[in-house]
Amino acid sequence: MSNVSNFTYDEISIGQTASFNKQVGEQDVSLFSALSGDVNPVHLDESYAAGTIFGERIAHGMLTGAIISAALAMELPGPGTVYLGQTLRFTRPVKIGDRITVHLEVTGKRDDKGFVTLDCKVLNQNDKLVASGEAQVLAPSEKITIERTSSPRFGLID
Amino acid sequence: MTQGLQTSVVRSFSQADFDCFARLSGDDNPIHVDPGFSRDTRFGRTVAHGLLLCSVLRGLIEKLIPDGRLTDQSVMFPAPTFAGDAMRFAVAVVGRDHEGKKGLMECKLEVKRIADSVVTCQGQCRVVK
Repeated sequence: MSNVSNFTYDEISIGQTASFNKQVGEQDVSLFSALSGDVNPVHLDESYAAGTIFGERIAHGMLTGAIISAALAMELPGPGTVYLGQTLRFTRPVKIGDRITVHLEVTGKRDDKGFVTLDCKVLNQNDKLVASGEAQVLAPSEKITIERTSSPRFGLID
Repeated sequence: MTQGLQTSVVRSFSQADFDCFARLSGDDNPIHVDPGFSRDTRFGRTVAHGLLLCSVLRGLIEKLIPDGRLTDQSVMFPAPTFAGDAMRFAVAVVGRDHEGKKGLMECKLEVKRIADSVVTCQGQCRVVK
């Protein structure tokens, strides 16, 4: 467990950066399949995936999107951030076991609304771009600190 | 003819779904997982992760266009999605062979609260099949 503090709108400046990384595991892909209903065998069936252009199982692209959401909520602006919109372009597959890093950079602020625009780039462990896009968020107005509680590993219960 | 193809599903989330998505994504934002904190926010209670909505939409896209590869997506979240509210998730193919690229389909995405027709997620994506 560790504590995480946010950056309020006033504390955020153009050009500010942050990063967040996560290893994509077997259980993440199974859980994402269950939550989304996307049960394409390219994500779940090793022998099927071996016969595809990928040659092995790949993670859902939207799981990478979910990790961008975590980067915004845990790093910049941090806890209390409200998501307004996201564009995403998927450029390379993420394979099971890959460690992906989300790089955020503040590119715009709108003082009258408290909106912040961030450029998002997601790289794999070989520094290859797997996804990119732009996030629009409402930055927190109050400073808060929370305890990071996630990542106790858990399995699926039928 | 894939144009005109559409599908939708009604789903409501529980706090347990938000908690589950928080663990999966690593997004522990208290606006999603802490009812006490959320009571004092503009929303007054916890709200769904935007990407949880996108995840359910992704599952629908797979049902509509099996084995389609999602190349890009753009969504906005104009209003919050609360636990317990019945939401209609809808995906519709609105164009195909987009920009002259064969097999590239453009889809419209929408999540709407059934009780009052408030749209909580809208956008579009492109899928290659």
